[in-house]
Amino acid sequence: MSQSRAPVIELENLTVRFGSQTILDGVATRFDQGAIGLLGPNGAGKTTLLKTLLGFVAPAAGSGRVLGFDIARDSLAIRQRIGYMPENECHIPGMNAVTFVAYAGQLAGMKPKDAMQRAHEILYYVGLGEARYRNLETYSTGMKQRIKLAQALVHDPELVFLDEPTNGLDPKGRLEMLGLIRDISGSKGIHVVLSSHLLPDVEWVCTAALVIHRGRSVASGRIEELKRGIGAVYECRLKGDSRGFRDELAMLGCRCDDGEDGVLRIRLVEGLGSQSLVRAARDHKVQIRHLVPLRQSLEDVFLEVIGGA
Amino acid sequence: MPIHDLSYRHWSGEWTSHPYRWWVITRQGIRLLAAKKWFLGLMILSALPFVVRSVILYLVTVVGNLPMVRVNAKFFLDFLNQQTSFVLPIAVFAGSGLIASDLRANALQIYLSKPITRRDYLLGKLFVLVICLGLPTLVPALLLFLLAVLFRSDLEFLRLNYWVAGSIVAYALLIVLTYSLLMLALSSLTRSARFAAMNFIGLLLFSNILAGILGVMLRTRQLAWVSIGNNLTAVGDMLFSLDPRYGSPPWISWGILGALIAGGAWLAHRRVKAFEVVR
Repeated sequence: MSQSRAPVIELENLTVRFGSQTILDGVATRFDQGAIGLLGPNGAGKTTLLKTLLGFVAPAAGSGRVLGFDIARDSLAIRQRIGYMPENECHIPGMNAVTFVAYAGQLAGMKPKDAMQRAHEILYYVGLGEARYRNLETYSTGMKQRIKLAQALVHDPELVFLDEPTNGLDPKGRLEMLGLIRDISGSKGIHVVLSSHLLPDVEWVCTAALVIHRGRSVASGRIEELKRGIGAVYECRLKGDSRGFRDELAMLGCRCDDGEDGVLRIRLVEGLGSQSLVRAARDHKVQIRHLVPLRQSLEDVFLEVIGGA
Repeated sequence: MPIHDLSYRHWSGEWTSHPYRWWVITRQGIRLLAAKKWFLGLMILSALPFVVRSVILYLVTVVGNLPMVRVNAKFFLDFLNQQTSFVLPIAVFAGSGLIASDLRANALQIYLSKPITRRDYLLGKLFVLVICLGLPTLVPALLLFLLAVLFRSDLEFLRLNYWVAGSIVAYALLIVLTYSLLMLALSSLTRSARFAAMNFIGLLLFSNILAGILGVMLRTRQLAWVSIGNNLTAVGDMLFSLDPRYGSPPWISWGILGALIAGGAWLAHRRVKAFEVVR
């Protein structure tokens, strides 16, 4: 299948309502390529957004394009080019793994012989090669997650939507699943939209993220830029009366939180660096005994934007 | 020795055209049913009346030693009515889980995340039943008609009864569509195939019993249309130009069967969704 040059996802003021309840409220974003994390607390609207992109739900207002296709008009063309791994357990009763994946391929439009050949390949790829003739109803949770990934990949999509792909997996299984997702997005040129509440998973796999809170987009962009956007964080231990020091930082827009054992956690605003701390300490005659920059994580970004929303 | 590449590889084969995508669902449904021995047994059993009738036909038309049997429109209508006793169990076994099992296993998300519409899905499922119910009704009835033509040395039978072939097709399709869409609609209402089967059998039995009770209590056959089976029989009588066995006008039966077919299709279409909105 040819790779599209259009943006992977482009949303403008996308609004989805169920009755009087607004589930997505004016979501706007644009992602060009790679792996995109879809983040948000439970009930934020992540799954609804995925299902709107698939054409399962009609937007009440706004518009959206997936791989250049309009989500309201071209849902079949979109579904021809995407793979979807649902969050909940799902299979087609009465089938073994290879029949199921081949059937998924045929539903996507592959010829029976091609679909069967491809099903064997994909099952080996996701690590179910030895269990491919077993009935799906006998599969463990981890195997069911893998089979869902296999049916999403069988027709070689340009984009895959993965809804909580590591749910219910043990640590080893989780790492293996994330490894597969990294492989398809990193080495195979398949775009990935990963919806998860496990922020380390998203941070490990994705290059960009969209954070949704109460149906609104509260942050979107490359993860590195999102981290930079919330400013640097330092862990600092002081000797002396720190009130003036804190007041000056607060005036500059920085946040100081007390940690354990008298350690201050200081979040600087964008544009300020450690020199500002040293200067403030000198001005207010306090001694800095310990100053360590903390590594920003996606979790910090998430908490910051959710807290601020 | 070459090492087989087990990593992800891109695929660049040809796609099938979309208008026939529903056939994938039908083909898979038939394949799953054909793997069940009891189902094959039932289908083979349903062919026995055809064999018996073929022998009778041979004896009547070729040997000529069964003068009490007449090969006319009624002969074929009786055959189709007789086959209804196989249609019901086949509809239950083949159809009760068609949508209910998919609902139980959350399979609709799999189907509808592919380039498949709700119409494709329902058409695919419907044709599983149409084929399974058409095999013991439409196909043997038409074969029987063909045998009746072939066993005669002249074209006299065909000249007098050519219209019966049309009646066979119309009546068999009506039986097949009524039971298929009724079963499909009931299957879409529940996540349990067993419950769908019980509802189907219950609805048919209840309508029959109610029609019987009303007939006895009110001493009339005018209310026979309350039974789904009676409506089919009434329409069959009309299609095969036989005297109506019930007092009610045939348009009532046509209306009820039409409503059942349309209502079944509408209900199944409404119930098949990729995404349930929970408020």
